[in-house]
Amino acid sequence: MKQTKENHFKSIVEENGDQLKRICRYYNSDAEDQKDMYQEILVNVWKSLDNFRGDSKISTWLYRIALNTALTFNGKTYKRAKLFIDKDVQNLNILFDDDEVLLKEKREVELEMLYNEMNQLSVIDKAMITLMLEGLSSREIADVIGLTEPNIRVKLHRIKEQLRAQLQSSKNE
Amino acid sequence: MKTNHNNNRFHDFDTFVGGLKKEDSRNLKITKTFQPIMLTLAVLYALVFQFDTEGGWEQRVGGICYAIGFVLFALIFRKFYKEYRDVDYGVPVVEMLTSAIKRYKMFQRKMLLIIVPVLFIDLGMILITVRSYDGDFSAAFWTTQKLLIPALLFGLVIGLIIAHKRQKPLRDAALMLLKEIQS
Repeated sequence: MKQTKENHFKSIVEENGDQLKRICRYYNSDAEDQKDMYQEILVNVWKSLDNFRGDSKISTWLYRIALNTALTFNGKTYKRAKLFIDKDVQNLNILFDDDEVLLKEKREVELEMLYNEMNQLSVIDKAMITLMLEGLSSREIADVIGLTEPNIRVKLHRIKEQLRAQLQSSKNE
Repeated sequence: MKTNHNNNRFHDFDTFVGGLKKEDSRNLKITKTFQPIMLTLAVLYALVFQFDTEGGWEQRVGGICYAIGFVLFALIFRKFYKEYRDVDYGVPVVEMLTSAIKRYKMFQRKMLLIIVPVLFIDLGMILITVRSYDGDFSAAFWTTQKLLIPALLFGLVIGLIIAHKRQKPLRDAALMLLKEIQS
């Protein structure tokens, strides 16, 4: 029984370790903090493994654990939750799904502005952004957060609008 | 998504897994050893007063009350400990926050359960000391309360200070996040 749990755990970490590390990187700029959070996530994966019944996809389940850990990590992250995103992340353009070509012109400057604006968002909005940047669909984000899909769509739309408006106003200044 | 972070596995992964397993068995050991200790104490108290040839029925019943109090303490401890240990992080964030809010609530109805073993121990103390007061139950009662109530209040105050310092900030944060999600 224990052996099975150990093997299951190892295979989950082996297959999904990168995904979990990315979440840690979103919330911590310091390598040591990232490592601590990663370790805490793994501890929680281990603790919760017996409760995993396969009702959701393993990736959704892991995102839940990662996010729940990030939000409660040492009871501190929620206070200073700041997003750290690689400026070359291709997925940043999914925040703008219309004709506005964010990444083509003045890429560096605009990305810097976008990055700053994203860090003005609330903790939960940031959490949803991280899932979006991970490429999760609205349905999957709803599964992770625990809200309905329409609710998530409304929230994501609101976040995009907010970012767009703030970016526009920053550009005009 | 392409990222520039390295794909190194935990360099000491096996040690880490070993640590997790050790933690699991430690948790199990705490529950497994605490309960026999309480049960042993319970049996011991019950027996000591049963075989006290100088004692009357008060001592024997008092010993049994002590024993029941200890057994109930052991069971309540087990319940609380399991609840604390078995936090499932694999549930949706909303569910996780809701359970955290409940878990870190300062005054919980389930805490009232502790009153039951306390009452048994209180009754046990009264019955066991009544002989020293020549069978005067009233004197035994008040003397016991003078000791027990300050001790309980002291424990309550310490518990509240710890809860206020450690749990209230966590509960406030969880409340804030939940409110934000549901807004």
